[in-house]
Amino acid sequence: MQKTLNFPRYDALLNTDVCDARNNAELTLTLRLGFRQINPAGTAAEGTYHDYGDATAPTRKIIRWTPSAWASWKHNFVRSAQAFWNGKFWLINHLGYFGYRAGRQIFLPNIWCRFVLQGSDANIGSHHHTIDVVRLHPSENWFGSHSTLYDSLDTNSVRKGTDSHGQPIMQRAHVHEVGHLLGLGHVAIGQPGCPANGNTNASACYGTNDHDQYSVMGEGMQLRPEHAQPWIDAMRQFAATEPPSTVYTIPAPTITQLPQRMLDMMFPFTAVMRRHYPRTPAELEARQMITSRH
Amino acid sequence: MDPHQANAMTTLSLFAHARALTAALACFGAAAIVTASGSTAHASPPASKKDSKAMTTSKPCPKGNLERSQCMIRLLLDDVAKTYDGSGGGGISAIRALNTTTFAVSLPQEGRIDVLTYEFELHPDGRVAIKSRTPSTQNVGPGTGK
Ligand SMILES: [Zn+2]
Repeated sequence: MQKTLNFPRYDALLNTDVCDARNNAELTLTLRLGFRQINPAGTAAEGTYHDYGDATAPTRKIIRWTPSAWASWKHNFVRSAQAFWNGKFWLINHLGYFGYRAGRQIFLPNIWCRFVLQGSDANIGSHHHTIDVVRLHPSENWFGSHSTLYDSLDTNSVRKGTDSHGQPIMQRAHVHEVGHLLGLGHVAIGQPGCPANGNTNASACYGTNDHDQYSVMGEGMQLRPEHAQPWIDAMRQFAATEPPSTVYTIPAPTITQLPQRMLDMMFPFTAVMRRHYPRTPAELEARQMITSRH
Repeated sequence: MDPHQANAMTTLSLFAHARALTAALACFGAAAIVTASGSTAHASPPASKKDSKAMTTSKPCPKGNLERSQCMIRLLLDDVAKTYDGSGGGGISAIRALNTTTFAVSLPQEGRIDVLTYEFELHPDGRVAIKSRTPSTQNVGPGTGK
């Protein structure tokens, strides 16, 4: 089965054709970005542009995009952001959805989370998001960018904060931003200083301890299982809309299994950051996790 | 808008309740800054993780509005240097007088502007002291921050 669901933020393709005794189902989220050049006025080679595109904010010097610089920037953005997010998570399939036979054995797949980023000029094709991009003059080292206005340095690793040992916390802004485009919020939302119903861009939302600050949805570059939420959301839709497997249905729980089953029904897919192999019914029902199979 | 919220599934409402409870508790635990004069100011979410440092900054200042405002801005700049981790941002984009004894300093970051509002007190002996520092965040651009 290869089935696509279209979400506002991305398209999701579930592929179970690749499943066998060792290979899980694959869920690929595809994000289509349209990039638009911001250039100096008229035909000038150099000009200025306001931080955040806000006429009341300071200006920074910008230079005209050349075809080669534009192509190179887009290529670098797409390649590096895709590599960062692709293939990093596996979803444990607690309820045994999408069972299949491999030979005479029934297997229940886990889900490998893949990511495809497609970037093209905004005037070509359709996109989930459109992004304006300024090319900074070599004398500038910072520009006030936001969710739909990037600058040419956003793919560089820059210092975003300082940890409790005085060490710099580095981040490539574009991978953080792709997290937002996938629907992820800042790391510390819901913690003191960053109430979920308040301003979730407040500096406290980027983390007030080393662990949070080093998260990619804080000031750093670390991925965490919670960053698999977009794939989990998509899988829940697939599980709800696809017909049940013809080869396996999880047995009704015993009384002692009931609390765990209720949890599994609330959270049928949970993320890990290490490959977990497809399971046999006995392994799944015993809640065994198979991280190596010979 | 927090995109994570917008994307939340109803089946995760258990988490939503827990999050709301945390948010409510956070309001009760709002940051407070103890100033040199010993007064306490309640603040919105901290713009700096070093906010807990007590401010000990005060200066004897010559009389005259120009000298007094220079004094306040110097105190403010010293305090920003000590307490604000702006390693990732664009520096200071504005210092604006809101009234005779209150200045706001704007510190642009990607996707937001951190604003620190300083209130000063003038002592009869000519000394000027920071009474409070209140951090806040100004959103920029559409939707979520960077
Ligand atoms: Zn952000």
